[in-house]
Amino acid sequence: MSKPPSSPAGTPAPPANAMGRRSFLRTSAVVTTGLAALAASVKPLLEMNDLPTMQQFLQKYYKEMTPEDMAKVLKRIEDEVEKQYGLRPHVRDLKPMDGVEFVYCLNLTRCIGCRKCVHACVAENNESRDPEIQYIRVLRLPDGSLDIDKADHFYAPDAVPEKGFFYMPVQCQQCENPPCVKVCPVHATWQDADGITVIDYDWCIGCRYCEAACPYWARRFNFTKPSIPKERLNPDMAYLGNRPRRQGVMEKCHFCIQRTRAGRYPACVEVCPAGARKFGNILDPDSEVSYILKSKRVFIQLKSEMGTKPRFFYYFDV
Amino acid sequence: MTTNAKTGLTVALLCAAFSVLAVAFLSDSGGARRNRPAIALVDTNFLDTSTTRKSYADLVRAGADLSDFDCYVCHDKKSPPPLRFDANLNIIVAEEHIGPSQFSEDDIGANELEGLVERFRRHSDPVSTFVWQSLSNSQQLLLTNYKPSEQSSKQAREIVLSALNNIITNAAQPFYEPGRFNEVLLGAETMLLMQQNPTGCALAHLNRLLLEDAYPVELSRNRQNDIVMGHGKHGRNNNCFNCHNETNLTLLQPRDGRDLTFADSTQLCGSCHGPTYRDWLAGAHGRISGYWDRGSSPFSEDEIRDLPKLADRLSHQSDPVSGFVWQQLSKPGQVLLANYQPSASNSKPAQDVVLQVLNKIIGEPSIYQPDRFKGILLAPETASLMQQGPQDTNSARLNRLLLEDAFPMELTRNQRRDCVNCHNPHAPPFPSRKPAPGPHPLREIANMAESQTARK
Repeated sequence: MSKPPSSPAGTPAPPANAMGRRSFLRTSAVVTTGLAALAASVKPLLEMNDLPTMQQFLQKYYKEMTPEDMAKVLKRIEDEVEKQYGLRPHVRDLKPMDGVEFVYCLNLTRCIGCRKCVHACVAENNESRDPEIQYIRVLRLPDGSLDIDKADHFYAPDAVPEKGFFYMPVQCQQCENPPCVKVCPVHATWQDADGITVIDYDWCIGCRYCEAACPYWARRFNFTKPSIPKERLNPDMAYLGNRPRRQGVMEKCHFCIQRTRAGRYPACVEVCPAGARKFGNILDPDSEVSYILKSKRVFIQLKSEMGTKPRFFYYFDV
Repeated sequence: MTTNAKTGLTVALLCAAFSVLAVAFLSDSGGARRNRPAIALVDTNFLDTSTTRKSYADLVRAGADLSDFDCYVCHDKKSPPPLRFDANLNIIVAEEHIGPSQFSEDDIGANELEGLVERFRRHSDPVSTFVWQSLSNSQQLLLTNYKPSEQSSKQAREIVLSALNNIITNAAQPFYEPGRFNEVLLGAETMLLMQQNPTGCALAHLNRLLLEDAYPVELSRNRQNDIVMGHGKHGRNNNCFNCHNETNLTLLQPRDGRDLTFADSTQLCGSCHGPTYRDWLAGAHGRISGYWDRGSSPFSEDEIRDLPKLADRLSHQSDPVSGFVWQQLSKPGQVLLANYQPSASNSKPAQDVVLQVLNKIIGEPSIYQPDRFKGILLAPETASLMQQGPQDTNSARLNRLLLEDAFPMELTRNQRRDCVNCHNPHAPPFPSRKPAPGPHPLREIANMAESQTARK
């Protein structure tokens, strides 16, 4: 090892590992910049103001919950909604009925493309208004074609229906063979006995695999915290249905579970001014959907070649 | 370049790169949300989902006032009304049937004057701009300074009425222009009348219809006496006696010569629209609301349409069914209903009592007895269900239908009713339910559309 050179003035030389002014400034600049970059990169975390509560975090899986657990969860949800919206909701956990399998039929001859169903759905299911989330997309197609590539769902004429077009509303098809259920890594979505594919919003991790798997673009993701005006909140809620969702979870049409599992028609059926939407129990031979599937000569399942077997049928008046 | 210098340069470059990234993150540059084009709102008057129109059959069932439908107030019962045709062989409708074309004070809703004035003041649409320009300066000043108070409202109402009625009667200047009505959803009747290029009284009538279409919330459609001719798009079914019996206008007559009452109008419709009638019988035609599960649909709170009237009928036991329901009530329930006075505070207990007893009756075996239901007009669906025989599985559905038939004006029916319920030109127009609390949806949407246009 060579001896360190002595200073010309004869003062003792600083030790080799001592920090000089330059190296101090350089290191400070690097450290400051590094910290600034780190702070900037974690900045989005500050915007996450919709984090789950501890109770919600420790909640059991839906299918493993006892009735007592569920009662506690429902009370927690009611408390949370009341705190946020100033209105005490009525949240229920409605189970599928025995001997019931829901089927939806939509008469393409009758649909006039007024989008009343879209807005009734938003109002009934507490969907976010800003950014607007809508479960139903109404496609406008030129007459004589069922080519989805020619569809437009941003149509905005002065009046509907327009000459030369027909309209095809698309929403969750409640498939018998749902690809979205297969891809969910945490089993947060599943198909119930009455055919409705449901989502447990408290179990969803927001990976969006289901959104990618769905061939109908029926699933919606809450990129931001949903915003619903207080006076527009629908207080009749279901756990697997229209209770308010948080940021970062998926949602989709559930055939208005809070209504249909209580025996009522979905909101989109009730609101349709043309009577184009029909809903019922396919296991009941007297139901209108049984009649339609038996007697109407033409009906299609959208993208049936995908093997998803939708429970949503489109038909035409012959 | 020495190793130290290289290291220094690399660190400096990395620092610079991180600094740029930090600035980019903090300023959100390149990360702003891209706005998708807004999905246009075509027709958003969707919140009123209830079918609250009353058909003629409902009115008959309820024993309501049918004087509006009494043809023989004006016509001679012994001879059919003479038909007059114009040059195109279209029937000329008597002026008495066309109804008043001028607006009266009652036509502006009690709480709607403010909204109407606001629309005029703000020139919120081309029609409002037109109305505003038709006002004199002093009238404009009065409306500009309008604030809801008794005196001010009276003046404003008079000004608005005179402005609207002037537009209606002013035949020299056509009210309809495509640009003016771009954003207005015109009714079927308006379009039909417009195609006929009307003049005189018919033009005044058209102007009123246009104003009603432009202000669907603010102005009421008071056209009880209207008769819409030209049933169907082909224009061939344009004769009163295609559907009415020539010698008795209160009877309907399909092509096979049967006489039908108005309550059976569905069968008349079915005589021409066979496949539609078949679909309708199966529940596959027309608007529907209520319960898909017809077997287990108890009455809910929002299905009691008129609680005071129902409580009154029950406590007075005005008919055998009311008497039967009264017997099913507990003693405290009877006391509660007998002392019931409509007010916000005591409606809930009375409503609960009524719901409890009605839903208890639904759960029992069939309540039908000929004596009990004597004089009550049963709906075709009830009658056909009864023909199937008393089966336990259908008793709940049958009982509900029977109760609906017995109290047609007091309870909401959850099934579709008859053709005239949707296709009846005499029926009051939608919406007839109270608007939801909060700002009116149509206004809210108008504001939203405005802000979107401003943003563009």
